[in-house]
Amino acid sequence: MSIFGKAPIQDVSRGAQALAADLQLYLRDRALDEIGWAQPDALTLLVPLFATKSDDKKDAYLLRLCFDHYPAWPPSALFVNPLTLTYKFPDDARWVPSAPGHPEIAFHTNYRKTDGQLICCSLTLEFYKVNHSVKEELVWNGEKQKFPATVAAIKRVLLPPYYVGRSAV
Amino acid sequence: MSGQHGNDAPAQGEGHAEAGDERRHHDHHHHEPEVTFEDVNTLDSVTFRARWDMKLTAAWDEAARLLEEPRTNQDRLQTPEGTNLMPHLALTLRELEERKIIKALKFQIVGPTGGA
Repeated sequence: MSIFGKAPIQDVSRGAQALAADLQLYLRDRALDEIGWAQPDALTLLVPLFATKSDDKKDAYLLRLCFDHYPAWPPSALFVNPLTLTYKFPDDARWVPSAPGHPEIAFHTNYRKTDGQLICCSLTLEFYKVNHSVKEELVWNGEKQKFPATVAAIKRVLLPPYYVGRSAV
Repeated sequence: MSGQHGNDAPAQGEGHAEAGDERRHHDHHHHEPEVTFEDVNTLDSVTFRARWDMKLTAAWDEAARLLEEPRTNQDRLQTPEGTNLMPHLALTLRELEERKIIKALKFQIVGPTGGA
C-alpha cells in the first residue's frame, strides 16, 4: 500500500521488530561492533560516516536513524552532535555536511527556517513530515525497501564533487 | 635471504619488494575474481566468480540474473563507499581496480531517490 500523499503514522512496536529483523539481514554473520555502528535502544541506530572533500581530506559525521514509523515509512535520519547525540540548531549546524548541487539529495540545517534539520531525500521520514513534493514512483515502499537504502543514498552525497565541508549557520 | 646482505641490502631489497609486488599483482589477476552485488533496497546479495576482463555492465547483468531481479533504467550501481559507478560501466573489473575506482569487488545496486 503506497504512502503517497498520506501523513506519517508512528508504530513503535512494529518499528522495533522490523529494525531487529532487517538489521539481522543486513549484518549477516557480523556483529554491530564490527561495522562500527551502535544501537542505543530498540528503535535507534547510530551510523558513523566519513565525508570526503575534493582534496581527499575527510570529515567525520554521525547519522542517527530512528525507526518509530518503520517500515511503512522510511527511518528518521538526522546528523547529530557526536557528544550529545542530539541536534540543536544553530549550535550543532557544523555537524551537518554541506553538499550543495546534488540533483536528488540536499542537507538543510534548518529547513524553511523553522522546521529544523532536513535530509531532503525520499528515503527519510522527515522528507514526508515536511510534506515535500515527490514523484509517486520515488515514494518509499516499505514492502520492498529497507533502511540500508537510506544510508547508501546519503553516502552518495558525501563525496566529491558534492561534499565541500561542514555546514555553517 | 635478503636480510643477509646487511647494509647494502636496500637496493636489492627494494628490487625484491618490487618483484614481490609484481608477483602478487600477477597472482592476484591470475585468479578469477569473486564479485559481490548487493541490492540495498531488498538486501538480497549474490557472490560469484567473474573474469578480470569482464565489463562491469556484464557483471551487473549476471548479478541481476542470479538475483532474479531484472535491471531497470532507474537502477544505479555504486561502491559501498558511495562512489557512483554509472560512468564506468564499460570498464573491465581489472580497469576498475587498476584505476583505483573501486577498493573492493563489492557493488551496491541502488534505486533513484527524490528530494533536493
